[in-house]
Amino acid sequence: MKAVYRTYLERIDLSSETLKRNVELVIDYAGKLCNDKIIDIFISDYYEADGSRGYGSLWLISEGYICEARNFRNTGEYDIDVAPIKHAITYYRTSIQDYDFKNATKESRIMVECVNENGTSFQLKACYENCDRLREVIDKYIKPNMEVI
Amino acid sequence: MLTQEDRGKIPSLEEFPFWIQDNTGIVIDSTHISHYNAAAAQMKEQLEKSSFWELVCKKIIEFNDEYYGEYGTELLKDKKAPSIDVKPGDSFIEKIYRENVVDNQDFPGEPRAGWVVPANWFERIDDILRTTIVVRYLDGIEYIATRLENLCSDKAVLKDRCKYLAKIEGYYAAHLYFNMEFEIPGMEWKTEKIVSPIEVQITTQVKEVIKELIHPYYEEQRVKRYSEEDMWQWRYESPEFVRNYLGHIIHYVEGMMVGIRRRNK
Repeated sequence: MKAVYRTYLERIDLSSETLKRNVELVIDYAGKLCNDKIIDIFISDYYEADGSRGYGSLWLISEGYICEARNFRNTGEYDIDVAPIKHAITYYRTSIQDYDFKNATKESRIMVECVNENGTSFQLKACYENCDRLREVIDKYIKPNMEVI
Repeated sequence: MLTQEDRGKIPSLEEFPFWIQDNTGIVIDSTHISHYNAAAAQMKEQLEKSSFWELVCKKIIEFNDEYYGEYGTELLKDKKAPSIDVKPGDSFIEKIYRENVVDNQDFPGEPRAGWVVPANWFERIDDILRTTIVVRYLDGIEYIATRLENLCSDKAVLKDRCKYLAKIEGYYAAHLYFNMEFEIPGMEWKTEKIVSPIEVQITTQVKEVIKELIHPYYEEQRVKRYSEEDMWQWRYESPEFVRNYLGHIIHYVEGMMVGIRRRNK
């Protein structure tokens, strides 16, 4: 696994070797499914009502596709969707809470919902320090892929 | 079981230091309590900084993710490192009293393992340092207990096999003990090396809530002797009846919840 992915996972409290092995496996599967090299990852996260951190989907990004692995923490049982991303985003909406795009705090939240040309939509969300990562994802993969006719 | 009359007059907690001095010549006074407090605080600091504790904290996160991989749900209530609690001085003295008097079947004779006294109490009392690992579901107790037991065994620090407690008073939990070497100030301030057991309690989220509710009751009961005539099971209006059966009912319901969760998978 790339060191940058390991650092990212540890930063959002996903530090176990079991989890890293799962993520590595899903990266491999997703690369094969979309026949494209996975160049970045993102994990949706949120806080539960009791203050514990919860995790949504693992997002895998290649030049041409974005893949969603819903149950990436379930060993040996993965559910992966693939959607085009290259110049395929027709609309995106963001919802931002307590975040200045520089320094995420424990209260910071971002949600981005994207619709692509074939009408499919996907939603990524982040809390606390993961907001910085989602901002990067928006800048690197969402904005440049807004469909230009 | 022997009754109070069979055993002669039993000293109270307050009378115990005088009783043990009069009967064995062993002195337990405020100097010992001050020494205990200073030593226990140092033990806590040393445990928190130890490589073994760091490994335990890392491994329980690993166990959590393995469990998630297997069952699709979190093992732990939260992923924060478990806190280490030091037994307070008064509670420690109460335990010394229980070991020497209340739970000593041979009282007023010496307990079978010998008197618990300042010379040996850091080795004999097994919960001077204690931590609690809280899991979400009942099956998580055994899941994490067996893995921690193996870890302690691999590192040659396991004191005893894990005890799965099921008390008549409705208390259910797993208790695991591992040994750690500590350097503590001696009574004359010369450093001493000791090996003291650490208690790891493993319980569920729901049981933890119930424990908080009934803890004062257990504190009170622990210094009392059990009597066969005290049939709380038939005193349906007594606090014991409600509290103890609540523990049993919760355990039963938690078992059913695991069954439902596994069937739905």
